Amino acid sequence: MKPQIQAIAEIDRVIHEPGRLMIVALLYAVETADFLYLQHETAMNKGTLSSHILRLEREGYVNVEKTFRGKVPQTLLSLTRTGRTSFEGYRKMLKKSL
Amino acid sequence: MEDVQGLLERPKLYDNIDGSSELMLGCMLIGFTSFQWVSAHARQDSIWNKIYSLPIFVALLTTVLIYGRKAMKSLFTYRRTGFVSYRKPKLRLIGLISGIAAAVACGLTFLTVRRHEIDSTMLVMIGVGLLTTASYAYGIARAVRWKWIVAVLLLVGAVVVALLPDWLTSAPFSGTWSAAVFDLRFFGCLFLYLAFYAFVLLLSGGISLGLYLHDTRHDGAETE
Repeated sequence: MKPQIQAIAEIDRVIHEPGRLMIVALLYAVETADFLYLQHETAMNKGTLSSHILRLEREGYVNVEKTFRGKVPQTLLSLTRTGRTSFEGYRKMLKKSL
Repeated sequence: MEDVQGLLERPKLYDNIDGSSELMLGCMLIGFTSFQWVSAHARQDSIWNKIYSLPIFVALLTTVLIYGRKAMKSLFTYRRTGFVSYRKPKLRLIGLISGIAAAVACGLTFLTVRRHEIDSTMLVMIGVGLLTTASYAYGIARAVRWKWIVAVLLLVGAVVVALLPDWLTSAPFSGTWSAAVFDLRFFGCLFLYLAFYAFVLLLSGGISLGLYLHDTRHDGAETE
């Protein structure tokens, strides 16, 4: 198998899904962001966004922290070290295969 | 890949979604130019002209503006379009090299100007105009299309200020003690351009804030 085709086969499927790719790319550039910010930037509805975040959390890519801003509940999200490394690997792999 | 790169830059551009960066910088420049004006018009031995006055003033102004901006973000932005905290920027080698190259270029230009007795005001104003326009275009204008007009306006403003007649550029400081110490045309041009820059930033930031408040709404609900 050609290395380029091999690279496509090895792409991280968790990150490769467009919705999750948006979330991971946005979180990669920041320290933390809240749910509302991701909803605003990705234009996804709450349900879809929640399910993507849940999947990323299960894979150990995203850290979810429930907190309060004053009296308002707030969900803070950040990429874990695994998430960062996986995204960097994903970008490298994508560059190699295109 | 370009789309992914675009996504990576979005959080940085989000910082000024409410015009707060421009408003803060505009207020800072207004404060700074006001201080210059007051210190030039006050007596030379007054408190405004003590060596510690400017650092104290800048420190106070910066503190007020930083906390003011935080309050503004908490009141409007975080409730409407979400909260973001940024990663601390790493000192990159390319930034360091660019800084050294810029300092060397400025030094060489200064020496050339002195040796050939060129009118330095025009050169400095074009340099300042290019620098402010480039930083504004990179930091702010590329996020919002209409702000390119503001970027062009900043550059045009620098050239126009440099072309103003002497009596007009020296007007802010004529008749003051600083007239005997500084080149009135040079400092008058810089003063007028900074005031113009501040005014443009406040106007642009104000429009951004108005549009942001108009286009977004505060749900007041939980974020998830």
